[in-house]
Amino acid sequence: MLALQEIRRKKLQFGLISLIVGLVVYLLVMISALGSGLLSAMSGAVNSFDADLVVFSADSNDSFLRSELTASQRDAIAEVGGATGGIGYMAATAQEDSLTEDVALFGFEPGSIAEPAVRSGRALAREGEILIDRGLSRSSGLKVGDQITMRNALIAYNFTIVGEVDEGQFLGLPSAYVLLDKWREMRYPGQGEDAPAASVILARGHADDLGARIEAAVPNTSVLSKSEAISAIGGVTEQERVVMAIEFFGFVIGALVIGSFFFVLTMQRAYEIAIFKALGASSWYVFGQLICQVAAVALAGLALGVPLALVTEAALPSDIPLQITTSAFLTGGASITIAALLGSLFSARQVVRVNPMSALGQV
Amino acid sequence: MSQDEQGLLAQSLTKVFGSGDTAVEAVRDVSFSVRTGEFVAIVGPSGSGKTTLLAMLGGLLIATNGRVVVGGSDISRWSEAQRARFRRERVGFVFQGFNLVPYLTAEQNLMVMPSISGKVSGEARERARQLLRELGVEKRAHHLPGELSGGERQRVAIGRALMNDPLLVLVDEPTSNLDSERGNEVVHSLAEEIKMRNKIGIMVTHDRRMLTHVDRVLEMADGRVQSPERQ
Repeated sequence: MLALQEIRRKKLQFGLISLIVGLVVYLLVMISALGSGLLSAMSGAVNSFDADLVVFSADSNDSFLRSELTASQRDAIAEVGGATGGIGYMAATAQEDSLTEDVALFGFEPGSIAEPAVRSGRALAREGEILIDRGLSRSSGLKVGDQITMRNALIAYNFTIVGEVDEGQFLGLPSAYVLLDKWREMRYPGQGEDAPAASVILARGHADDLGARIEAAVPNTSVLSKSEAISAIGGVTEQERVVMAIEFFGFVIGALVIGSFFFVLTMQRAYEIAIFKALGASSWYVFGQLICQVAAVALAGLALGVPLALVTEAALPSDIPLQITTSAFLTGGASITIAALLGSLFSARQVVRVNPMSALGQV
Repeated sequence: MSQDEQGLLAQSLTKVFGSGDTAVEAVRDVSFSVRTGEFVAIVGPSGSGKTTLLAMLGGLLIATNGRVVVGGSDISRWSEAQRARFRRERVGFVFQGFNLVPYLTAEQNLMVMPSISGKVSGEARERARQLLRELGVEKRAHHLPGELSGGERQRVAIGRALMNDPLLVLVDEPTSNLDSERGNEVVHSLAEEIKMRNKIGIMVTHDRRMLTHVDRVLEMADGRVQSPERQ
């Protein structure tokens, strides 16, 4: 393959271009990873809900903080069909010796789809027990078996940590899980049976119209899909727009950088291209050689940028919201492919324009 | 002028560059023919239109007027794609100066021809080695052009020109970068290849010492062929 021979002979030149491509891949993967990390910090715990739909109270403006559903609404929702489970939410402060940390405290209906999967330790059995997210145990050093105090306003509640879950954060706070009844007691102290039964109800079902049926059957409810519920979290939509804009600029600039490198590379080779064309090579042949080289450089760039991103993820402290997902790699990979393609399209024009007469020292 | 179905015929060839007041007539009404197995030199001062004429014969340039018939085909009105195909299949070029691809070894430079025709094979590789052997540079097959002497480079360029077994071999100033002894050797072996393989050979040169190797000389001045003379 003559095109690859050229790479072999021009190691420094192609090595540098591969390095640039690799750094652009790295940049795009990192931006994408930071974006997903940020999104996950805001809404990871909601995204972990094992549900298709989230039922809010109609007057809550679809906010987890304001939504309150009564026991009769809860029962009516369960009657419509599908699997359901109540979730309660409140902000609380975890305290243990010198540790003070704000947490997103969720109450869940045991045995329902709202119950989080326990990764280590065991599930909750009593009201005095609590599950904490791995993020919290990592950042605070808390572990299964520890005693912890959860404070809501002036009232403190004592818990024993019995297990760890991997549900993620909510509104930038690590999550912790207690039984729904306990949450109800903490959230609405002294109200007894008059207190709301849950903040939201999760629902899961195959029927497409489950949401509409719930809204029709149960007064004063608002049903959102899980992704809609995430977008409705204050600031998430704006945050997603900002991340998308950064990704877009990163992609455009990366594409231009890579494109212009190939452009310059082709320009530098005008004389060699003229020799090929004078000897009778078609523009397609020359362009085909160029595509081979672009593909080789793009592959080398990916082989450089992707491991670099993985190493960075491992090296960064865990409090930086960085989440390298498959989509981050896909974004990086697709961007490079498109950028390389655009770059070679620029060059294709040049290839056609090279006058074979210049190989004769004329023109 | 002798007619030869397999040979080359140039008829009233004219090339004008530019237009209007700035128009330059590089070649004016040139007619001649060359038989297969014949090696013809075009001589003349620089600026006399030699290289422009050569480029039209090889399908690199389109004539403004007149026609070029090679092996029975009139190439003068062909499209760029048709002429590119003609060049890679029927023409062998030896360009002036450093015309090898710098990042390819001598053997790979010969392999450019089958590569651009999509005909890379073990047979082609064997032919490349055979040509390098005949031209006396087989020991340099795996060296880059930058590592070769001027004479070796020119031999590799001749090997490349013969690689696709062309009907027409066009040579532009083959000795401009060589001392006279090397130049003589190179042109001599070129003349032998053209005779032996029954090619149409046309060489542009300003070096009159090389004319002992050719069958016929065309003198060019001011874009015209002056006096076709026989040697």
